[in-house]
Amino acid sequence: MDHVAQGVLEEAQMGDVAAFEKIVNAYENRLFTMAFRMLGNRTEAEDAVQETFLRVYTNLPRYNETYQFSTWIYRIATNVCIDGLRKRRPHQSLDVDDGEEGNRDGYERLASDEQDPLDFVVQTERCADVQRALNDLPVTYRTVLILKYIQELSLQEISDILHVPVTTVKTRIHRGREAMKERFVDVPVS
Amino acid sequence: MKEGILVTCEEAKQTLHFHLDGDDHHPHVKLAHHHRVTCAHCEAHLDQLKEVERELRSMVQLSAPCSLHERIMKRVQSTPQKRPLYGSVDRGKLM
Repeated sequence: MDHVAQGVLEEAQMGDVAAFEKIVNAYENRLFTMAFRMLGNRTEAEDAVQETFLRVYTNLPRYNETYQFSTWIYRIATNVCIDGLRKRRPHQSLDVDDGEEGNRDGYERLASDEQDPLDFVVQTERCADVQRALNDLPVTYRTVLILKYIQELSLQEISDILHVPVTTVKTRIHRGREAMKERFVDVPVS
Repeated sequence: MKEGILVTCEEAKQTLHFHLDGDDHHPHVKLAHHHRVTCAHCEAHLDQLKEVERELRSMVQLSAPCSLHERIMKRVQSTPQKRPLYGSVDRGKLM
């Protein structure tokens, strides 16, 4: 699903900043939401969104229609967020083997430590609980759950964004749901 | 492990996710459904997974701060674009 007109895209590809601003308008809330859910705090989310749009702008003349524009922009945003997580702990692998439950140590916990609820848009306590559970999840699972349930993308779009088969997306969603259930639903609500 | 009508809890558990994904044509989903009707444990497990889905879907959609929008546009104005590539392009290499 694309959110900008073809004409706007072509103008922006020619370096028209006003046209590019329309792309920013169309995607900034979506990408900020995604980055915040991925990274768990506002500062890193803002930096990730800015970096995403800069990469989109500089690479725009090289965009072709192999993928939908939406898929392309989400792929850049996903890569920027994962890069951001990697920078927190440079020597740890982010990838969770699909055959394993996944590691829980390191950068996943950092996000919740850094979270500053006062520096944040109003959100319900329950929503903050879900965010903490997400922060605690291996990045591979967190990414697919956010793309599916918060960005409401189709399995095919997620597959295109992540460059993995739909069956792999499904497996990650299954394991992600189980992992969320363990961290979240099984914990009694205070 | 509790015994169901034709499948075990472990087998039923695997099919819960196919059911949630709407893949009800999956061969084991129907059998697992029969199992769940008589197994409170698996029924509760399914309810908890549905709860996870509900909670994720109900997370607040955020608005990007105005200051961020301004910062992005300022940076864009002083950033050059790359030149287009011609011929076949591997999109995966562009990021």
